[in-house]
Amino acid sequence: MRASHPWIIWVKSCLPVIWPCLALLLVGWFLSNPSGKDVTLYTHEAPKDARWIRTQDANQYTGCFRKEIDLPSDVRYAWLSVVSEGGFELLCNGDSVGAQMYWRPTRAFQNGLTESGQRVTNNEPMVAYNFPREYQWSGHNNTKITTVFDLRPYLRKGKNTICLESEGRLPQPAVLAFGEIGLRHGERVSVVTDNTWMAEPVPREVKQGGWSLPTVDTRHWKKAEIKPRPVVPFLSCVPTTLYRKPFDSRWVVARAPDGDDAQSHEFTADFQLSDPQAAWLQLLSHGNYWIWVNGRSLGVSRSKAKAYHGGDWLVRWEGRRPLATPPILLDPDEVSFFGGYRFETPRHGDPTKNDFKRYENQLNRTKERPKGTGGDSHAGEDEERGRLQDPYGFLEEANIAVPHALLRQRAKAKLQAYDISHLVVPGKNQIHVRLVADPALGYRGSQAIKFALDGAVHEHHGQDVALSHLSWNRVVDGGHAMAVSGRQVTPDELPAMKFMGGAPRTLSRWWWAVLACPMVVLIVMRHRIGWLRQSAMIFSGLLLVAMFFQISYAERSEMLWFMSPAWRYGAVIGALLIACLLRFFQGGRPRLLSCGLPCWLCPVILLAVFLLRAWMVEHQPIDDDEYASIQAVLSIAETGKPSLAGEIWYSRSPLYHYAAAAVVKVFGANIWSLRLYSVLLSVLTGWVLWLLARRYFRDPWVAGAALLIFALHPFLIFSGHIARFYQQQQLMVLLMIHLFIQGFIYTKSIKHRVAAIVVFALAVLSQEISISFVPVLLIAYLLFGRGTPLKWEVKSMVYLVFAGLLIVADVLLFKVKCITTSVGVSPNVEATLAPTFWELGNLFSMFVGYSRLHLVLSVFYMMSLVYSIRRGSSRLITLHVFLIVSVVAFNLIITSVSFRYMYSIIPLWILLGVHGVSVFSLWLSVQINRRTGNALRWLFLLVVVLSMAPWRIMQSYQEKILGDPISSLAYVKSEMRPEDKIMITEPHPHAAKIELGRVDYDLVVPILYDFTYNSEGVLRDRNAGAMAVNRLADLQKIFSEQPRVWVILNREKFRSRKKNIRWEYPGAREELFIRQNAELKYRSYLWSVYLWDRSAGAMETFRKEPDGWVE
Amino acid sequence: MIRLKSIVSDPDWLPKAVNFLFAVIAFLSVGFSFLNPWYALPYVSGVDHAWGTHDSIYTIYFKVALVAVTLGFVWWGYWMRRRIQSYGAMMLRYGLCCLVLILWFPTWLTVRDADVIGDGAWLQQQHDTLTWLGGDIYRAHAERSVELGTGVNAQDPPERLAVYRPPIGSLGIHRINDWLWWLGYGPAFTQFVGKGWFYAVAGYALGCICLCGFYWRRSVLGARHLFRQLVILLFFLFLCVGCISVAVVGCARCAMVKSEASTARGDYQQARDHLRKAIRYMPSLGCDSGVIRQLGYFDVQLDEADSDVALLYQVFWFEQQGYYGRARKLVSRLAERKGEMNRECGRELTRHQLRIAVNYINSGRYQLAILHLDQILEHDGNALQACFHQQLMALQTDDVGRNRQMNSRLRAIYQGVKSKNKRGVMAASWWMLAQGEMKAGNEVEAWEARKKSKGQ
Repeated sequence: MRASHPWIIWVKSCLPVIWPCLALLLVGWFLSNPSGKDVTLYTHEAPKDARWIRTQDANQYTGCFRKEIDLPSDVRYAWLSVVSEGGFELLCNGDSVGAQMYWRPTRAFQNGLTESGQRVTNNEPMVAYNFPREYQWSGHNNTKITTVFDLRPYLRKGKNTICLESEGRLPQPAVLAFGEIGLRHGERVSVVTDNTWMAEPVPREVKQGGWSLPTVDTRHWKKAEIKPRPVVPFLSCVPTTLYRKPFDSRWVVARAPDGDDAQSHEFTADFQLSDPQAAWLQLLSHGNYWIWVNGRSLGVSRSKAKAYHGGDWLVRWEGRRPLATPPILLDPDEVSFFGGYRFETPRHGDPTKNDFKRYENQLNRTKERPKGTGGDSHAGEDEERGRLQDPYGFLEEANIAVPHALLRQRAKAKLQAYDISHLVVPGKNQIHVRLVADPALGYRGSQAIKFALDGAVHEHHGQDVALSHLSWNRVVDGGHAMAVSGRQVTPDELPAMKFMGGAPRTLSRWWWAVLACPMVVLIVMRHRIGWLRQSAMIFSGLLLVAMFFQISYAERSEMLWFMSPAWRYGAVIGALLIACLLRFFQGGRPRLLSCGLPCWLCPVILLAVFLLRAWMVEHQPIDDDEYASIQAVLSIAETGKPSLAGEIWYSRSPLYHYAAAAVVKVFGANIWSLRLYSVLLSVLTGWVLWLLARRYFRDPWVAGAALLIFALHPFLIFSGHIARFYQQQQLMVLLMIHLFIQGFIYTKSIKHRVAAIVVFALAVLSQEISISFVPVLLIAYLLFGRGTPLKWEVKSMVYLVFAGLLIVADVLLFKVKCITTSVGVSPNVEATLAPTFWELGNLFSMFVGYSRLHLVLSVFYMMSLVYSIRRGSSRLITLHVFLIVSVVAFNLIITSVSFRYMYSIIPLWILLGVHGVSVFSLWLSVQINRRTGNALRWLFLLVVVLSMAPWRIMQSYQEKILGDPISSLAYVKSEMRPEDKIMITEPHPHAAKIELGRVDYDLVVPILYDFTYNSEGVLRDRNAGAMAVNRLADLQKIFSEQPRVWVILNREKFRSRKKNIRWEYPGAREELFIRQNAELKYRSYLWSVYLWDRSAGAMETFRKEPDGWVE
Repeated sequence: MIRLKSIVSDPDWLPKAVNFLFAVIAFLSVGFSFLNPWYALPYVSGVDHAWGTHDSIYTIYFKVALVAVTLGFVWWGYWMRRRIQSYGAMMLRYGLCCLVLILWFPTWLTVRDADVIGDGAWLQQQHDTLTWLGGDIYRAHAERSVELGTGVNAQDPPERLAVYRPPIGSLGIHRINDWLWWLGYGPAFTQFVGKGWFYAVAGYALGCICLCGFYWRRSVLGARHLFRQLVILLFFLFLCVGCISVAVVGCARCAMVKSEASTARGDYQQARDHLRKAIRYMPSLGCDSGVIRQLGYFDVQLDEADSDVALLYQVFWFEQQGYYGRARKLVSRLAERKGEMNRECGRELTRHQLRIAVNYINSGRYQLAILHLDQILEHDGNALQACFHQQLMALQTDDVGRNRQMNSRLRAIYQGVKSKNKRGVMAASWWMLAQGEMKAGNEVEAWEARKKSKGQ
């Protein structure tokens, strides 16, 4: 046999390396779009003089930035590009232009962005947001992406204000904005954030709703501070020049030869391009249309409802449960005596206006009541429409303003912009527009059917082709005729431009890869094509893992990596690294990673478990529920009883609270002792996990990897330091599963049985929801339970009865001492143990996780499941049965269930997922070779760890992950006088009681009776005994009686995070009343502090008559 | 004859006894499942207010299918009696086949039984509207202390009625929740699922578990082999069932995409044909307000403006344009022929009527509101929001008789609702009754109703 040439031998030896490299490159170059949406990101560069600005107050978590601009003439175009470290709202002359609401990082990236067309992805979260426990994660990186707004319709000649309100989880959240205003005579005014902007954390000495108005004087405000942060180029879906050019086009009028407008009208325009690089167009229209470029329809996401594009396709993709109804203006046929901004129902009033104000009609000298509506009338109506039946004042005197229903535009113009870069080609191009005429149903918009189109194509050689003056042809009976060109579009006809995206919908190329790879593998294996076997395996395996890795990022800001060229370079570097790694292993030298793990690994990772949870443990705010536990623990430490207010006990979870109280007794009542107890329990849980992994899988690698993921899991890190029972329950559950398997399935000894029963009881006493494990244990027993000698069974029974009695006693104590007599039924349903069979999507929450955290490991979990079934290992099958039945049981037994309540079984999922990594690698080892398989095991572990975005953990310690009442309470403590009253939103009166020593009022709208009790005819909060304030009348009365009241509000409770109040929710009027009458003094993350000071000015009530207040 | 001693000497006698006990329970459960409805949509007659439940016709089909599968296995067992090594294993296979069949029931009900599931979705969505944060119940808790007014701003009916979201757009992994609904496990099913279905699932699942346990204790090695076979069988059964269900959704989507493309081109005839084809694939798609509007739009464009859907589209169009008077007149015209309409259009019309009534309530025209609510309740016995708002009107107009009537009707409907937050609605209803009784001077009745409103 002829010896091969050395280089052929070398190439052959490199083959296993070349394939994975090619796989990764393919992923990088061709499959970098996981969402199926061909989004192009453009680079937007800020001017050199633009700076990141912040307030000078280093304690508060918000900022109000204001810039006044004098414009000498009318505006032709104006845009502003905004980037924020957190969230922001842009206001111009008092009007809200747009916002990026700052939600929790477990929500999808750009979830709160009002400009839906500028979102990178529009996918809904896979797991709905339901009672979350947060992750130890920093927020999404909003600083890489900029949002562009059209300011033109908001600006006017003369004095203008541009305002930004920022919100962040770090103090002094900075913003950066840059833009330009083009004036009528060609002048340009640059707008950039710099130290000329006024900046205060709260609108100082100005009403909260009015600080953005140009009439307000803010000269006493401090100047903004420049934040030393580099201004790098930003990314955006918006083509760079789209907003930077004034709309310059003529109307194209749809006038049929027979003058019949009640039919559709189609127009085409052709144009030549040589080498197009980027292109966009904007279309102005008064009605629905469809548009194609080179025969391809612009694909606009169905979630962008209310667009004119495709507006006559009514099968829209709306929210899953569309409940809220938009405001309804009065019928123009029925306005008669009504006037002003009146709506059909008072609830649908303009949220920024106080519609409950009484209108006094000075012209109505007789003071007679209006009688007819002008519409349908009915006998007896006249008597009904009196003052008594009209508590909201809606039917009172008409005002003299022209009814809004008559003034509003019926066929409102919309200016919508699209990115068409993917659709234009070199050579001849065609744009096809079809205007849809409304059916002739009687009432029609007064606007003629017409459109105007503007746009530009950027060519490779730097020249731009304008689309504003295209020659339009009208499609008539299959032929073409010259379309009627109308007058030039005037600036006052233009509404604010909205960017809609515009790339056509395409099937994600991933699916082809996913289909093709298994087919190739099957063919290769079926036909025993030996030389392809190894390559196909590695290729498909890596492709699969890369796909899930990328999909797992689709709801996070890390998604941007895959949409920028950097990802491709990253893929190349990754390929080279893997090549080196595999080559290294192919050489047969290293035994480092294939042999057993060093004995010091477990303590080191346990130390990491401790450090990750204990680091800055005092920095994070105390959670709502955590306060309740802390209150009980402190009470036990002090009095031996978990009393809250008077005779009310917080007798839940006695084992945890008494154990924590013992810790407090020894180490003192401070946040460190309270939280470090949970941290130590986390370390103990990690150690038990390690032991179980070693015992059940006899593979130190699995034990080490499971412990590592346990250490780095963001959800476990966060909950692992909360001073509540979660961690203790998790530890007990893990022990219980192990002891049950040993005692009831392997029947090792009576000790294991007894221990299993006792630990189960302890788990229930740590957290009563652990009772949900009863059906799990029963099914495991039915499936795999083995018998023991009779005396063992009898002993087990005795212990079982004893445990049952203990649990019954706990429940009885809870019923007698913890539950107070109900005064009413709360509208909400608290999580409790009861049969539940709805929201079945939660069944997947363990395997997906918020932000798709669990997706990658769940893929490997499936491999473990398949392996367990194939091997028939009783241990493994039992563990899988435990996990799956637990997930099902938790979802069917606990109301309002979510990922949060499955916290106790996450370590089991980790264990089985890591086992999946191991068995998949083992299988690959058999298919390829041992060393490569071993290397891939490490690679897969790396992918799992990276899919959890561990870099976010380190950044998160500085941030406030939950709303921060502590800083707000500390501020009040420093400012309050002895006679001041304290009001705080539910469920935080206990927080105020702990931090301030007292609390007077509990603001709760609507009233939640589960948290109140009746004390001598007064409803009081259960935890602190504060008087419940659930009506506007009560609030007004308190303000009128008390000279100074501190109102500490959780902004999430009132649901209005922007300037405009969410009028459809309860509590809107209370919020408006507080905003109007009290001064906003301080804001921490998600919390606001208002001060009602009678000496500061008059009070604005909804009704100014004495005793005439009606809420 | 089995001796007691031999039983007790068996080390596994206790788990076996427990297994036997649960196997008996499983058997009984299966038996009960045949006697009970699998879907129990509450229904209150508009005439005599009698309460009852509606089941789907598919329940009967599935029960027959289960019997057929049982007879098939019995026949197979008899025919192959000399070759069958283990009847237990055969029973396990039988159990799994039945279990998959039962789990497939929601898909058929949700996708194909448009009348029943449409009514279920309508009731469920009204309940959602009452209880969402901002709905009548939350507002009642925030505002009910108003002494002189209605105390509650009546909440509009759902803006859109649908059993599920139409399968348009990408059908990828991110739409996991939509897939769950398309496969039948949406709230319209889970809210009104009957005991029979639970008994059937629990019975067959428990039976299989007990048999698996039996084999495990007999021989672990044998059980492993058997489990593998069972899992493979289960996988293929689910694959078959899943493929059919997914194909139906895929075909409906395909037809809708074509319909949208035809709409874009202005070929409304073809667009209507494609949309109707999509409805043939998924009949319950026809309950979707958007689909009804779209069909109406096509009819209007094709000069068939007097069809029910076309008139409903016109109502929608007038409302969109703000001409509620014209919309109301059209609704009144449609109401005259409500009895001749199909269920989908009837529900859509009820939704419009309810919205008109709510607007009347909120603008103080109570007699007109009562008139409309009466009209709704005459045809639609379980119009939940109509009952609730009619009670509000009864309280406002001091009609204690109607107040009681509506309270009892609400109680009747809510017997069939599973959601726990129904207690909030009932508390509000009892509170309205208590206020009405108090106004009428019936102090004892008022006290009783007040206690109930407190949940006591």
